[in-house]
Amino acid sequence: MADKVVAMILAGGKGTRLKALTKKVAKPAVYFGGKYRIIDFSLSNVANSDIQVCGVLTQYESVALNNYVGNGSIWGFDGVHGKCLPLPPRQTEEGANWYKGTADAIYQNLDFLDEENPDYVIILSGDHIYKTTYNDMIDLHKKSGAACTISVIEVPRDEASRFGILEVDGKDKITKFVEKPKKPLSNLASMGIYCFTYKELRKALIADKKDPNSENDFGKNIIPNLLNEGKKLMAYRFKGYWRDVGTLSSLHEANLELLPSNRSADTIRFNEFPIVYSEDTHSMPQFFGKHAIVRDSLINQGAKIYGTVEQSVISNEVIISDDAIVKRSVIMPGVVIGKGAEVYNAILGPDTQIKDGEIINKDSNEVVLLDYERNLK
Amino acid sequence: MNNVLALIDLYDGGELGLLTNEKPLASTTFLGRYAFIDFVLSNLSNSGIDQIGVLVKNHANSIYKHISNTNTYLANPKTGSLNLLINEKGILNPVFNTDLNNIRENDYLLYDDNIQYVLVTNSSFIMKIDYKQVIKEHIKSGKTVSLVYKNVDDTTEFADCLRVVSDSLNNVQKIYKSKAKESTGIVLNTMVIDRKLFLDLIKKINTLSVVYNMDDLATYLANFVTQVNLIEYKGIVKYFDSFKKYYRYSLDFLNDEKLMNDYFNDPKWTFYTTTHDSRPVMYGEKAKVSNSLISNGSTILGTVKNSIISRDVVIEEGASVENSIIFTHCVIKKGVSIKNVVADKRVVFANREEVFGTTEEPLYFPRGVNV
Repeated sequence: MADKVVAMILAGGKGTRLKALTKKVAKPAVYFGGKYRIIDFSLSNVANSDIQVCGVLTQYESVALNNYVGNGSIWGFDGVHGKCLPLPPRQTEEGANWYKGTADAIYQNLDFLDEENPDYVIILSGDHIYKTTYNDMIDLHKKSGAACTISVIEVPRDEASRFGILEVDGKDKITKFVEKPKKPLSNLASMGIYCFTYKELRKALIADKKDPNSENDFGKNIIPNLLNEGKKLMAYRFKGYWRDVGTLSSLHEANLELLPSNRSADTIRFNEFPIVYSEDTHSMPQFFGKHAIVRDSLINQGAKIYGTVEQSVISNEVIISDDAIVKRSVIMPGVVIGKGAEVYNAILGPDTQIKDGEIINKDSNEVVLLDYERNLK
Repeated sequence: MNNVLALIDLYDGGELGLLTNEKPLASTTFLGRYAFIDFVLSNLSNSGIDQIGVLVKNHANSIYKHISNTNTYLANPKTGSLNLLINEKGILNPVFNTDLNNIRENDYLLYDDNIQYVLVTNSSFIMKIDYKQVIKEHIKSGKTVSLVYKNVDDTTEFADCLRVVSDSLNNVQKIYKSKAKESTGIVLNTMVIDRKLFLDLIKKINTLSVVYNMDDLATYLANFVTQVNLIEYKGIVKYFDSFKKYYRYSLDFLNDEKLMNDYFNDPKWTFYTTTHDSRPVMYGEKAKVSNSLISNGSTILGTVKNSIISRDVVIEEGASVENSIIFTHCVIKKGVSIKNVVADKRVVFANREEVFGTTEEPLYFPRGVNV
């Protein structure tokens, strides 16, 4: 029998820097690319890696996300051997606990993992935009006999202090790991993607739990501890497009990177394998009125365009009325832009309404966010 | 409504000429993302009916491909069921391949004692009909059969359909066929019948002729008019029975706002179809698009006007598509202009700069050809 791999996706974060977008949903549930939610990328990657069992660790505003993940049928986890379940914090004999850190979240679900009894566990973040399969990383992990393999990406030196930075030897064996170093000695950043041999993971989590000073975090505690113990840790070099859309401007930028005028050789091609799966909204095909103008944009089914759309990403069930202009903007589902209204450099959260003739953010290069709240005023 | 069995009769009309040479109307692309059968299945789904049998006449593979994921349509795929019914005897002897013989071959569905009513319907009439209401009216009437019909001022668009005339008390006077242009009732090939009577009837009809079909059964019912109830459908209905009508009615959706809104702007009525997980549509810097429906997965770099574009179509820069219906995976290469064209799946327009049909005589290109 082939080795069993279980994926655990950390999806509990609020994503505070996304402001109103995460007022009612966790960051992984935020819309991206006109059709997707951020977590679709990790879940599709897992499915495309032929991994059948997947736990999604939710915490902040977990209902919407749990509801979206459901039984995982969107990503095909409802097959014979498939299983996908949201794992929010719960009450146990020892009491009720929030997830204190990334490692604690996995620790609190060791019973789930024990039940599955995997050979390997991959731990992912539900916050990242990238397309991959994890098979090469898992292969490297198995061959090297490491306790843990960390997926790394090269980042510019001047940005390295924002990441967990790894130092490696000539064979990519990790020699040092520093979370957000002031003076980074390498440009290999951890992507927060780990492949663990389950036995080692289990041991490390139990030991970490006993340490009252631990923050129960993979980057701050588990990885440094394993290194201190002299365990073998490997770096897997990820090549390709990867974005952590943690701020409004990076979310805006990553959306606009999908457009024909901005695409680089690296940028995500949705039409190519691995396919990103997402909820189908049962929408009609998108409709363009007689006077519509559309250029350099990505538009999802169910949108109705009567005005002008340029360099923008438009989600399903969006209405852009006659004579309205939308430029360099990211428009989330259900938004209605009134007649003659103009919207520039904006992110419009789900169901936002822009009144007839309103002008939003003209002559500014700063990205603005408008959301449903404004409808109520 | 688990006491209703719906039978979707694909034997019923529905030939679109060249377009249905290799596939049935039921699985033919409509409005870019749908197949015809999606409309009747969605109507059933929205009406809470999920015991469904599909009477397949031919090209079963094409139907199977489209509706094999029953989760798309059924409220609960455990308690409900969506069965493809095939008359295997009819394959060897096509003269026996009638809808009634198909039902006889698959009559196990009719021996389910939980089923009280059989709803026979079809996929050639595109309509938005609440079958729940139809069943309710049938029960209220106290009669054993109800036929759904539509009053029209002019029968031109329904020339081959069964017609019905009733008196002021809504009693059936006659059910008939005619070529004459008139103002009358059109039978929408939608009928509710008590299950036991239906079982009796299909046996009875068989003794009259083994090759009788559902139309004959409806006509036969006219002998028992006091037992037949009429239910009027007041919504918009389009009957598809020719290639030209397919072309015309499809483009009507682009130009008739009322029609479009009636179908697709009703929060209580969703049309379901199978998803292909295609990405949103990509529009290039020189794209020009107006008065068109465009489906996900497509890449539009050129011009599209008054057209319906299906999934995964590529229209290259400098290419132009006007008054046309383009099926999935077609490519219109740089510099090519097409007008008044219906292109089936995977057609590539590359080597002729102008491919022009007319509004009255649109051109048709079958699957996979190069133009």
